[in-house]
Amino acid sequence: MDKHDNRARPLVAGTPSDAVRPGHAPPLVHAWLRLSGRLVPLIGENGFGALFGRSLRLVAPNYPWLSMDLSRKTSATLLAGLEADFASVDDGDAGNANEALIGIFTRQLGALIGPALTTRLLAESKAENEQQQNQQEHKE
Amino acid sequence: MSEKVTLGKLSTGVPGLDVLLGGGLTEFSFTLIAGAPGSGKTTLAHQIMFALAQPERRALFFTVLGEPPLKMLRYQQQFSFFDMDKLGPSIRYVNLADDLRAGDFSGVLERIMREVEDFSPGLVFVDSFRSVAQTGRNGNEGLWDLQHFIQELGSRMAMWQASTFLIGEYTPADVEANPIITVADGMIALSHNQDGDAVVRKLRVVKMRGQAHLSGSHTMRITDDGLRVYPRLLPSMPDTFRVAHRDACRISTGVAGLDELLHGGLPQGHTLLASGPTGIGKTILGTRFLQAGADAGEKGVAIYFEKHTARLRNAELIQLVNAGHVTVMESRSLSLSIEELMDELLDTIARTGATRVVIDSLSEIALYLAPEFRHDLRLTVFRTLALLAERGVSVLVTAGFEDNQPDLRFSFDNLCFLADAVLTMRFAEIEGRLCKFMTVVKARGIAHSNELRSYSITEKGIEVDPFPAPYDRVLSGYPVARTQHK
Repeated sequence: MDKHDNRARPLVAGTPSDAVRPGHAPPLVHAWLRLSGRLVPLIGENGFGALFGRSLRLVAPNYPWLSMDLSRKTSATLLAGLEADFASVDDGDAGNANEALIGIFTRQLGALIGPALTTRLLAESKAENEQQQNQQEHKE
Repeated sequence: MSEKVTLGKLSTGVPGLDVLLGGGLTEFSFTLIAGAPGSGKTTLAHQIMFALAQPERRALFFTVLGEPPLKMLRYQQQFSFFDMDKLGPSIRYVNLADDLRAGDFSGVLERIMREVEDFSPGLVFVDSFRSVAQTGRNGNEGLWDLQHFIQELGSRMAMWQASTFLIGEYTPADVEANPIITVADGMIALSHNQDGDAVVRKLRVVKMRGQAHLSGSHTMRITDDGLRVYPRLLPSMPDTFRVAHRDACRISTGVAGLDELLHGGLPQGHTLLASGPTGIGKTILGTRFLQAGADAGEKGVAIYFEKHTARLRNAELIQLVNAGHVTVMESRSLSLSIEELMDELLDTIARTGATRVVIDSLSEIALYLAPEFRHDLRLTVFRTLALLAERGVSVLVTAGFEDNQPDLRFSFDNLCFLADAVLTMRFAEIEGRLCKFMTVVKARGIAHSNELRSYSITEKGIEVDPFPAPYDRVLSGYPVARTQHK
């Protein structure tokens, strides 16, 4: 067991309630949800979970507030945990940690399936994100 | 006009496979790709998928519990057929591992149907299907579930007009595969046969409903371009063979005396087998043959199965290679299949535009071949020469064998019957010297001399005496000087 695993805070109910969801956390996690939506059909929940867990472990020393709970097996519980972690810090810290996490995750994925395929998958995910943001802005 | 349904044929994109299938894969068919782990099933499926998938005929590839999808993507993209642009618009991967954990076939079927309805594919792959089958219940209930599942899957996919492939670690003798084989329209079995230390890959079309397929096992290879199947067929005869050439174009063999024995040289496109014991000058004849080609502006290819030092000491050959006239092919593998050899030879001929080929020698080629091809050297040589004849190149092949005079033979393994022309080269003892003699045994389609000529190997090459040897019983190894009155 990694020493940082002791800091893992168990999620009470999978997704934090709106009362403890500062505004900066959901948009950050939405990008991950889009990405997992692209990747899980392709590499399975196990594949996504293994990659995400490894990336989290590599980033965690610089962001000790990131929790690692081995009982989180699905992309949904993993990302709910991430959202709770982001919500527990201010938006600057959350943004920095998210950027580092995406960077490491991308490099891990790229090392396995190559930069070209990784870039393609990320670009598709990003395009979906932007499309959704545009739609939301249009509604507003 | 016939009102029978016409079966559409899909070209698989796997060289040689369409010939085995009887023209291609039947559209909307349900095919089992079976074989042991590592036999190339997933690669075959991917190659077919990338060849056929397009925005109008999309492909859904379901991964199950076999090779992890990440690794599959990692390795499959190494093949040249893996076109990244097709991922997304034409090809979608779906992982079924989580759906299978429930162990319920109907749940898996529903998931597959949801994905099919969402993506409307023309091609569906399930890899590995054995993982699906093994998650079912044990005993007869499980067997019934499986059969029902396969029937449902087969009929639903056919309704969706999707050609479907199940990939599984089965052999044709596998009882567990029986329900699948029964329902499937086609079955392609892959295997890797071990003989001694060599392994040769094989592909067999076990069944293919609605069309006459080529039976039997056929050699296949996996290269950077994917699978390639070699149907056990001779190349088709070129049109030039259907025309009678009374005055075939002659080419020089590089030895003036031999050209004279052939009454003007070797007919272009013919194969000359030069046979004889060690030291008789076969390799030198090969070099001269290539040199004559270079002098006439022809390119040549030389395949050497002699040890490397023999070639390295051949200064004339090195010059020809350095000048770009000749390309040397040599194998380091000691488990060659004839198909590998022919692939490389044909590639080299196509790349260089060569019109002359030297194979030196057939007696050593067996040292490089996998046992299967070594055991039937005659067939191996037959296929090689047939392919070269189809390309229209002129060939000099050498065959060495131990001199066992007065045994009058012209080659081993009856190889001499496969060549258009045969030159025999022999030693004979004369006045305390080991002298060399040659004669043309046969030359198809042309008149030739039947004289036995003495020859020497000098700095100029092979110098043949202008007159018949003045000896009798030369081929016995113990010639007798011919007296004047004879």
